[in-house]
Amino acid sequence: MLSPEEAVALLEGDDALLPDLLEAAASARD
Amino acid sequence: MTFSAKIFIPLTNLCRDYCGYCTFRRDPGDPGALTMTPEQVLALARAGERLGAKEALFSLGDRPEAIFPEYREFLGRRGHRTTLGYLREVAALVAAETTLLPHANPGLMGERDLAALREVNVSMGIMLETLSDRLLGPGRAHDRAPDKVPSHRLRTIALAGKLAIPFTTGILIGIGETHAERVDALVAIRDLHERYGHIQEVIVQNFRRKPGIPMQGHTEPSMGDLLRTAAVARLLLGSEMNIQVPPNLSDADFARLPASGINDWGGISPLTPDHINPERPWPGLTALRRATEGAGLELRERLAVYPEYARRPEFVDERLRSKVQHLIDAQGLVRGDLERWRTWN
Repeated sequence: MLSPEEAVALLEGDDALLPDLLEAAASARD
Repeated sequence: MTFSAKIFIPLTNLCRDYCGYCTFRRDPGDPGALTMTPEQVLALARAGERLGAKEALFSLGDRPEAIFPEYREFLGRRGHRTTLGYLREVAALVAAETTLLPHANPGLMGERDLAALREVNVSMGIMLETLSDRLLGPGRAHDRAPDKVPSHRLRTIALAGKLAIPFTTGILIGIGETHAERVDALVAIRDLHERYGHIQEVIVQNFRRKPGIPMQGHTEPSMGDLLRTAAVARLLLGSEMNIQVPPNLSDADFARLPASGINDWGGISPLTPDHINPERPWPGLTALRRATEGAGLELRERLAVYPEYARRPEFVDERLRSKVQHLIDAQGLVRGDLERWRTWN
């Protein structure tokens, strides 16, 4: 599971990384 | 992907808090100030029942009796000293007289209040909103909002866990919190769920500007920020948690939300507006279904109590169990033959 530090880094990450983040989240749900 | 067919019952919009983003709250005598009588509540519940709603969402102001004498008199005439006592009476009425299942969202609650309300509600909720005490400061979102002290809200959520109440909570993003504070709030929810196992749903709600509110000039979170936060919530809270983003707060972009890993649209009403965001109607069920299926998911109706809790007797008061069991299928979702929403728009 994601650590708080990793979570903050993802919130502040580059827009170019958003598709990868969404894919990981959707995979976690499915 | 689920949603709850509900009616929204604004039992009272009097509130002792003056949150910077709120258009719901009123003082007595303000235009639109309203406290519903039991007869009005029951009439609304029956109208919702006829349309196929299953949830009676009671959403109301926080402890108005603390500062408004005329409201205290109203409660006194009804035999109550507190809003929460009055809420229990009307929720019991709806539970007894209709097929609807109450879900109360009345602000801070103590252990005795929670225990009394548990008898007539299949689930309850309070938005944590934020874990930032900074936002209680002058000119901030929770200035003049004594019930928005984060530690008090965490206490209510923990007490609900102690009493085995299926509980809805969540965060409100874009009200002045930092990213780290946003994550702190999600982690606090995760910690409480790990301790009590009672968090049935986490809402990620985005601030929207409205005319006339103290925060009308405040910047709204972008769609990218909302998607990113919902995705981070999914990764922080794990695959089993139910995560909701309200579709009516994202305009036409709401169809993008399922891509962020959410699995619930929240409550949708065929009858009543979203009284917290009355300028933002919910999308029709046809559009909601299209957006859901466009993401490769199936749209199903759930009750106010999520499937994970509906079938566990320790989480549902014995007075409500037979009503719940009558409405659900083997998965804990609403029985297919009772999904009346399929005939809505």
